[in-house]
Amino acid sequence: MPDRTDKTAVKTAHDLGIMRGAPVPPTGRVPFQDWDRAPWNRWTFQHIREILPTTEVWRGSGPVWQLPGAPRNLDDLSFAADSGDETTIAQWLNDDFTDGFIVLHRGSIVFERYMNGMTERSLHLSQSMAKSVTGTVAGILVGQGLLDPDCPVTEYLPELKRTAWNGATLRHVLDMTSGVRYVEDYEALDSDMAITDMAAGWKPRRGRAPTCIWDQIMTLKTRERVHGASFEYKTIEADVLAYCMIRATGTGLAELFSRELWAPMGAEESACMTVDSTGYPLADAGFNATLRDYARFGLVHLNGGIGNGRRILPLEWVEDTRKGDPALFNAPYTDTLPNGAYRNTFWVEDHRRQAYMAIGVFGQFIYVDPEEELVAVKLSSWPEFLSPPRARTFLNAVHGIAARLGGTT
Amino acid sequence: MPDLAQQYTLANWRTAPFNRRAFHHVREIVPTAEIAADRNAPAPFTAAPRDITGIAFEGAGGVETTLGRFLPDGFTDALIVLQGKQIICEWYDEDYDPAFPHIVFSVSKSITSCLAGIMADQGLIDPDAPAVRYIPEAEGSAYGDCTVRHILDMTVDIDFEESYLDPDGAFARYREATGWNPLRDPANPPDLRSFLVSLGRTGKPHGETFRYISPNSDFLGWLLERVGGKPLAELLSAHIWRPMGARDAAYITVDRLGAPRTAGGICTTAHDLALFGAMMRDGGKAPNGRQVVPAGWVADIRNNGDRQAWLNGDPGFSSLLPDGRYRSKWYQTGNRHGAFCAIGIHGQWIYVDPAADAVIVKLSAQPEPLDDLLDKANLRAFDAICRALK
Repeated sequence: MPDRTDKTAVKTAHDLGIMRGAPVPPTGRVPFQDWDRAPWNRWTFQHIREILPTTEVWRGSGPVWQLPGAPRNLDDLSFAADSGDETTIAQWLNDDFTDGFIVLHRGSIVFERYMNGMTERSLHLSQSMAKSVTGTVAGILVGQGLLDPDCPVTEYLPELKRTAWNGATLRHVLDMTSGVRYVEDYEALDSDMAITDMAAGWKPRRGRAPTCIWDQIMTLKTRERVHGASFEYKTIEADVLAYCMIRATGTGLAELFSRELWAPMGAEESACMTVDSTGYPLADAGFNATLRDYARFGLVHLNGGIGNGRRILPLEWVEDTRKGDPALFNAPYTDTLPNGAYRNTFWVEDHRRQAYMAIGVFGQFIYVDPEEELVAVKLSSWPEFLSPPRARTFLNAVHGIAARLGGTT
Repeated sequence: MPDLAQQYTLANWRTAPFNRRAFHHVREIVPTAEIAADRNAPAPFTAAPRDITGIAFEGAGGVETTLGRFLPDGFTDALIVLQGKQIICEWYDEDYDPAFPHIVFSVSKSITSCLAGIMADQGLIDPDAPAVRYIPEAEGSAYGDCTVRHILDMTVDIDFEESYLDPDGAFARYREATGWNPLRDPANPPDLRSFLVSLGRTGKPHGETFRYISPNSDFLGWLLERVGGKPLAELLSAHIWRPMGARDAAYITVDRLGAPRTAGGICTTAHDLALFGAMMRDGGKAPNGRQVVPAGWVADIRNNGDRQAWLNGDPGFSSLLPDGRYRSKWYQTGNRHGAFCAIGIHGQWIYVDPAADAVIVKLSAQPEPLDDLLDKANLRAFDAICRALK
């Protein structure tokens, strides 16, 4: 039986024997109900295509956006973990269930590390960083005049008049400030989140759970506060946003992502997205890409919307993203980001500064810091869905790296 | 908002009309493993288009038709006709984007056989050895006392009926185990390899009768993974896809435990399939000059195959190819051009005509898995094309 209790010893999927062997012995078989849990996520996050149906986000046939290398030794850089203990980058990466970690400074790759069997070509699950990819493509469509943030979502999806989103605008969905009741509880078996997992095809269906994401959207009819009153993280709002994008463009989501972002950005590899039983690509969490392509995505944001020698995303959208409203941002989100905000599907680290992030459960981060000219991406398979201590340690590590690269340490 | 009337799902994807799109979107329905290629590989062929749509032959209905009429009538998604290294004809259905890998069904078996040939050449497997030398877990099953050769040539005695349309029999259990059908009892999901070793014998000798049993080819994939020490998708990429110069990644469906469906789950582009066909035509040497599959393995496929076992077998096959033979998962037509082919249900073909220096790849979405009239018309079409080219 793979070790599921000893959380101090970080083992690789290979060490654990997960899905190893022909055939895989019973102890190494991923139980479908628990594929995203420890220790199975050590393997599954890099092998989503092998466990779930997926659709391709094509990179196009153009040249790769080449990222120059300017290697720096950051392994021995010491910094304080959230516990207060001193650690080093190498030690932290090893301790923190890392699959991949890359740092770009002034457009060059200064540090790149693959662990736990991950390679340059491995597609790694984004979890909720998919929302930020979706939101970025939404920003591109806004720039094209195909979407209007101030428009009611029912302009795009009249069916939503029968749901709690009636009266909400696209802005509310982009910032997750609609008043729709959606219980984002990862552990409970009957939460709205658990139902999303079933509707997405991520987990075995129980009882009368909806068979697709759209059907779940149509069941959410309770409004628990005024639209726009406060930020409440609701996974399914990314799917409402995605359906607005599909309806506004008449184009499937994977094709839209390819055409507007992945191909123009010069991604190195095609990405893929998990699909539900109706072929809908899961915009809230189902995106998979390589470490470097996540870095390219971060670089587009860092560069004010320019990547691969062309404008991809409007500058106004990037500037607007940095201006999240901290007044709407409360507990429990302030545990990790005391001065944070949420805007356009991104987490603003500190509203007094410019850095913002895409974050996914189990330790996925794309960190974009224009002041430090830094992009950092960490892909992980943590044992926990959420861990404020691990998240704060990530931020400490990135700040330490920024200080080193900026020459202030 | 989803248009369920149009939607291909795990429950309907191999039935018309849903199969028309599903056959090139398999990845959206079933989990898959990637067979990596090299997108920077040079183009292996040049285009030398000739209008061959007027070539006439007897169609499925028994009346004369032309290639131009037959392609859309025959539910064709893609047709490539290659002569030498020149693409003479390339035809795609308007709803098929040729960049999307298309399922090739049992052509997967023929591809897997070539990997077996490579492994045999490296001394990793002996075709004459008992299968249990490599898969001891098969002891006690139908595979417990047969040889690898029996598996390669489909002469294993096994209690299994390849009944594509039976919703409840062993074949349906098989489809469920491969992940190709919805689970009837989600609490007790089956898996491919447990299913394989559950199959018993009928009591006849191995080696005498050609019996087309798809699980044999899944068993072969298991064996190759065991001796190759890597997932099958990686073996196919390293030993065939990359060396032969394939430019598009292919993929293969996998069961819930990662076991690949080598009997039918490979999806690839028509172009790379034509490349594979050219390699077979040229004795295992790819257009880039690399000897990918051992020449001896290809020669063995072309020269051997038990004629009597073929005649002893299912009349459906011997009626399709009356002069045929089956060797290492390839069909010999026995015609005067020495043509041989790989065949998959619903109209998937690699047809190699050495005398005409030709390769024909046809990918289709025929409504029925087996369609005697259409399958024979396909063969007449290929023969007519090759006679015209020679």
